Amino acid sequence: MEGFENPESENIAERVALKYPKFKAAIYAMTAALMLGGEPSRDASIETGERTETLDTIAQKADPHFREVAQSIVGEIKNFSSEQPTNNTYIHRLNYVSVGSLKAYEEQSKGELGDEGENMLVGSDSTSRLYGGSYVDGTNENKIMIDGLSSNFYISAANGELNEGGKITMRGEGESKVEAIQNALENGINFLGTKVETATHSNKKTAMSPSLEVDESLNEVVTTRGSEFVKHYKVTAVHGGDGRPFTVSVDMIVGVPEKK
Amino acid sequence: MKLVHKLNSAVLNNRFLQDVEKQMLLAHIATLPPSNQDQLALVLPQKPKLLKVYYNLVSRVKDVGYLSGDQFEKTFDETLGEGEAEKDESLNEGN
Repeated sequence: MEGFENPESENIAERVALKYPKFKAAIYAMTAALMLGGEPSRDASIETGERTETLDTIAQKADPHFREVAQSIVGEIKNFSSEQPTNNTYIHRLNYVSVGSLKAYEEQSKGELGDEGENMLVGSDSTSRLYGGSYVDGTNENKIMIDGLSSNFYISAANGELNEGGKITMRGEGESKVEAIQNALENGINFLGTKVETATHSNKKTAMSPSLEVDESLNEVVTTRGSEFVKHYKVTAVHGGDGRPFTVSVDMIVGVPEKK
Repeated sequence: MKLVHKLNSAVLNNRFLQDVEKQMLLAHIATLPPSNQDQLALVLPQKPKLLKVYYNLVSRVKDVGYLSGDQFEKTFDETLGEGEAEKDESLNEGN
């Protein structure tokens, strides 16, 4: 079904449509509008509601070690949603990222993503697909994945900090990637760092200030990785904790080669 | 006439909505992407009580900040009334 951003909300529409079959089209239209519209408190909010349920479920299923973390994030989402329902972008970011974070926690709790304590950064894209853990390959390298349109980029630090050598992978075409990075970091990292610290990982401070400088001289090294064109950037960020600058590499997947 | 104008007219002429509710709903509709406006315009004007349902959904999201699946369904039930699921055609204007 088109127009819905996540399966949970499809289920909502389908469930109600079964009850009111002759309103099916209207129900789908309303659900889509509630989810995807531009009004600040609305589109994110319905997702927050659904995702909160999902998060609750995940929290319940999580390993006891992570349950507290999961429930903490669920609480943050709920509180945030009710306290600041007008800041759509923020809710979106918190919502998505927190889901991704929980997913990562959940997967990590099952032992699928490496040992406890491994730095793990996850993100999600503008269509709310979750990438929790999908870029964690068992190494200790910090990784961030950003996906989606530039205005919707967000970054999550689920369980660690963005350190020297951290890596950002971006997807998307036709957008100002550098601007997107700045936008994401200005709006996301600092806040998310707070969330991470809240999530009982006080020994691992997420490190980003809202400021980010992109070293253009280092950018636009284009390579291919598999079937994708990748641009490699180096960006300099400022540690949110002690203010020291550090560099992260940014791989931006900017497209795929045309088949000849 | 644009579809959204049709939707707005339906809101303004809706007998289930109070004036303040109409204003809120119009403001909400104005924020929607055109595709969503069109989707709603194709289905809601013919079913005035569903506009009330939609208003209640939007209103709840505004008030509470989110809408769960149960709340979504409950809004339909409460607005349409018990038994309406079986006779939902009667909600159409003029029926």
